[in-house]
Amino acid sequence: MRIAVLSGVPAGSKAKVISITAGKGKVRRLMEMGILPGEILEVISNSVGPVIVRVRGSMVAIGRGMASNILVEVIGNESRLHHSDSGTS
Amino acid sequence: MKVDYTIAIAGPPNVGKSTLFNRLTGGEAHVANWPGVTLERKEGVLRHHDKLLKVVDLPGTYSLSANDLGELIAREFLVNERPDAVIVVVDATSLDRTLYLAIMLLEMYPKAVLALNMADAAEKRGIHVDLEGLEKRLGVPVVMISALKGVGVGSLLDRVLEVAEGSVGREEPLKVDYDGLEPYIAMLEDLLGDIPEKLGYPSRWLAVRLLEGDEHILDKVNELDSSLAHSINELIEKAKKELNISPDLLAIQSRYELIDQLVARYVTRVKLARPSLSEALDKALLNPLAGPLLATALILSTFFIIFTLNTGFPLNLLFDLLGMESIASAIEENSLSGLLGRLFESLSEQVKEGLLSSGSEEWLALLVSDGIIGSLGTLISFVPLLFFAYVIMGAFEDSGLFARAAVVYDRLFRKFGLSGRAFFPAVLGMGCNVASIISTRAMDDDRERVVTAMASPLIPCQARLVVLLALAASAFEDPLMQASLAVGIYLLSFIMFLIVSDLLNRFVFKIRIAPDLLMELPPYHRPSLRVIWWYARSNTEHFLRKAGWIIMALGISTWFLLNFNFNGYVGDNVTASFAASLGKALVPITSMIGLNDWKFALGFEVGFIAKEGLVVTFSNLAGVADPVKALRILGLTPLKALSMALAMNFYVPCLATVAALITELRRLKYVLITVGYQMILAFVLAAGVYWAGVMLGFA
Repeated sequence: MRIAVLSGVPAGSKAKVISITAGKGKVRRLMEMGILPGEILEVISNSVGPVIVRVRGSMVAIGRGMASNILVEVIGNESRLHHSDSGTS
Repeated sequence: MKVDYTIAIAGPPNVGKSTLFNRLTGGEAHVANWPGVTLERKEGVLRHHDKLLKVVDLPGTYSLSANDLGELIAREFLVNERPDAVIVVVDATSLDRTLYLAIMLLEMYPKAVLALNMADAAEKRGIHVDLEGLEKRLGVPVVMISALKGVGVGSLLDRVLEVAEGSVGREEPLKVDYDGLEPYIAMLEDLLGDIPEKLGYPSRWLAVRLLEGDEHILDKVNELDSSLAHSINELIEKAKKELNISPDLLAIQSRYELIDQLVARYVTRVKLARPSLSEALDKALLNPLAGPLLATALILSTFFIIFTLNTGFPLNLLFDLLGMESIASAIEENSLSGLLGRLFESLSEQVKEGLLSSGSEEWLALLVSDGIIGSLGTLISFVPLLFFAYVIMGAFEDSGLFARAAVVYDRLFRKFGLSGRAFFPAVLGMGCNVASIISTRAMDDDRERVVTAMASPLIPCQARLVVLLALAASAFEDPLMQASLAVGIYLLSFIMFLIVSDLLNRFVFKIRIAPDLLMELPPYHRPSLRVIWWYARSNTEHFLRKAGWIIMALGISTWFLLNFNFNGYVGDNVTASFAASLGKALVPITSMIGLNDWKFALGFEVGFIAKEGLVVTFSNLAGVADPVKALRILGLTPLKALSMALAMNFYVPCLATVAALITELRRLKYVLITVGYQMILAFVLAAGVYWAGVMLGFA
């Protein structure tokens, strides 16, 4: 188990949302699109631009700034994670 | 014609809501704005079983929380106009997410029918929904449809009528189990008494909204009875403290819990097949390096086809390069702008002759043939440019490509204080600036929307392309040089778009941080011609109705300026007209960019009506139909042509664009800033290049 911000989770991993810290309106919009604490996100793409996740079967692009405000628990793809987290966190 | 029932269509984005609206109304929609805002309100009528139904398309929203204007409008519509039935459209292939809006709506408004759209896609993916079960649980009719193919629409309307007549459906709004919130909801309902009824909202719904911190609702309650404000706040604070979780999170979670229960109970998946083509496409299009290139290549190649249809470019230059001039000119003549131009030229000629031979005065005949029919020609020649720009926009939007392009360009655009959302209006500007300004409506950040609208006239539209090509051809014999000039101006324009956006952010709005991007990437699908046709037609019509009269009025006024002075009609002697005097007055300024002839200044005046007016004026003044020859007769050297190309490309946007800025931005200040910075930019660029050229000995 590892805690990270969404923008630091490599593509191919799954992550469970723990909390979101942002303005009230933004948090609400995220939650109403299904990105809320407890939900599991599948990170589809995460390199330089927005982070793309699959949530409840739909793809959602989340700007990097916003993604760095989403605290998650990484739950999938452990082997790949160990490679990449030495550099990022 | 008496309307029997009013029906609203609600739904989140990307579920085919507009497709259903168009399917129901046959694409015949009355488009207006919601009061006080530039958000489109589409209305249409249809007849079903001898009943006349008025259909109102509500803004596509993810919820009804009043997070943004669209949500507020949708919600207030339900409360104030009390439609006889609401069709809530959701995506049958992604019920676990799209049902959210449906639940929120049912909690507030019971007279609804749930339409599960994309029935065909759901079937293909092996998704089966127990409609009867879901219907029983939710208490409203549930119908499976395919709006695109028209499947199930008849039975949808049958159920809508049943709800409107009151024979089926709910009496009371849907109750979601809010778990820990329930005691506070009960306390709030007690406290509120008859306030909800007075405001027109269901009492339980109002209590939940207050607990969720909905300020719009709180304001409304306070307006009615401010004495309660304190106790309401106390109760909300108490809930926050005792629950140890924010009430709005708990509320949203509870709704999703209900959705999960519904999906688990009533939806079965026979097979789990994911479209692999979509994944492969996304791998390429969302790649940080290949993505932007691919998106650009795709968009450019589409524009090339549209440009060729409309103006002949760039196919004509290609044939020119290959030495096949006759094919090149045939393509040019048979392009839409070529054909329309000739049509209106001959129409105007015939009307003039007819009027003159029937004894009408010369100025009157010319007013009708040139002033009125000429302006009408300008307006009509605008239609294919605009229409095809909308065709592109519709196709990209419908296919799901637009959302991907916004994502891959986000990183670049952020450096200039914009998000990837600004990419689309910018690109669309190559078709028509009017379309690009109107398309900024889809942007949810207000400042970003205004900045994008103000900067987008920098992108050369198709009308400017026509002038640019004539200038390039007059300056250079070599088609390769001509193409380089044109491409160079395009590149410069996109760079300027970004720089100007940055400056506007810094100095006009004093905010440099780009808004966060948060958008759904809808699944790819082949764009439907029907959807594109509906889209392009209604938008073009909307524009013509809105800006058409402004273009006609200003076009006719310009005709007066060109043909009259204080002594009346000037006849053939255009040198004596108001316009020529104005042109002469402008010569000191245009001389500074090397264009020391009032005829050029006059060209710029006419170019304001529509930029292609520049070449038309030069043809008239030089007395030859071919604009390239005309420019050479007027003594345009390659350096002067370059200076003019820059000035023409960047100076005040055309009339239609100014009209669009006025109607969309609704702030004179922004319109004036836009016109002002464009004039300065055009002048500085043209003067810089001209004098650098003179000093380097190119004069």
